[in-house]
Amino acid sequence: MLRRARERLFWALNNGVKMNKRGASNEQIAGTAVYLIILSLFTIGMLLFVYQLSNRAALWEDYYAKEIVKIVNALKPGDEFTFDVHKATEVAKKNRQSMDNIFIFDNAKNEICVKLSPGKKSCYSYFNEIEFSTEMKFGVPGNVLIIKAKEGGKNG
Amino acid sequence: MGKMLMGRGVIGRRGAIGKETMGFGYILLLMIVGVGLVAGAGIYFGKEIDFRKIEAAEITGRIMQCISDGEVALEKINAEDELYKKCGIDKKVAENYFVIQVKKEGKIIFKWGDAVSCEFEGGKGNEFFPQCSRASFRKGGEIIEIVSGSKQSLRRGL
Repeated sequence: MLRRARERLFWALNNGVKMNKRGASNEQIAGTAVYLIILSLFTIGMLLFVYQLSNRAALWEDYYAKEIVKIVNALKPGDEFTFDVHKATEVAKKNRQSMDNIFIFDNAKNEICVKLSPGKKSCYSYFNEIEFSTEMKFGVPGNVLIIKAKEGGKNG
Repeated sequence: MGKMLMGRGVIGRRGAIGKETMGFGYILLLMIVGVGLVAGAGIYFGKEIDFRKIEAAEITGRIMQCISDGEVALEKINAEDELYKKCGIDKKVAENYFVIQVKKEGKIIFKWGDAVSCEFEGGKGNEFFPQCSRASFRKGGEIIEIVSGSKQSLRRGL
C-alpha cells in the first residue's frame, strides 16, 4: 500500500503534476492581483470623483449666496453680523479667483453675487429694504465677512 | 491515453471560459456601481439648495410683525406701496420673486401674484411651483391670514 503510494507520488512528480499545481496557484494569485488592482483603481477614481464634485465652486456659491441673503433679510438698522467664509476663500484660492471679488453686493438691485471661480457668478436677491456695508477680514483665525447695516435703513 | 488528453483539454477549456465569464461579470458589476454612484452624486450635488421655503417664511414673518405692530394700517394696505414701504420690503424684489396675499376675515385685502398655487398639494415638492408659508393671527378681534410664496432661483451669469 505504502509502496503503491510512493510510486504514484514519483509518477506525479516525474510527470510534472507539481509544476502544474504551482502554475495554477501562480495563475490564481495573478488573477486575484488583477482583480484587486482594478478594484483599487475603481475605488480611487470614484473617491476622486465625489471629492471633486463636493468641492465644486458652483455648489459653494449657491450655499454662500443663500446664507448671506438669509442674514441680510434678517438685518435691522444698526446690526453687525460676522459670518465665517473660510471655506469660500479656500475654494476661491484653489480656483485662482481674486479674493477682492468673491462677494459682490449690489445695494441698488438688492442682489448678492458670489464668485468662487473665474467665469460665472451666482446671484440671489434679498427683499430687505436696507443699506449695508461689508468688510472681509482674513485670519481671525479663519476668514470672515462682516456685514454692517446702516442706521436708519436704505432711505435713512 | 489519447482520449484522456482530449478529455482533460476539454475540461481545461471549459474552465477557462468560466474564468473569462467571471471577469466580465466583475467588470459589469463595477460599471453598475460606478454608473449608480455617478448618477447619485450628480443628483445630490447637481440640485440647487432650496431656500424658497425659508425665504417665504421670512417675508411672512416680516408682514405679520408689521401688521400686528400697527406699522401698516389694514385700511391703507393697498394704497401706493404702503405694505412694501412700511414693512421695509423691496417692491421690485417682492414683485419679481414672491407671491403675497393678505386676508382679513377671509376677504383678500392685499394680493400680489397668484397665491392659489400655494394651495396645490402637488406643488409642495415641485420646483416649478412657489414654496409657500402661512401665518394667521388676531388683530382687534379680526382674523388676519398671510400667505407668501417664493419662486426665486439662483441666477448664474457672467
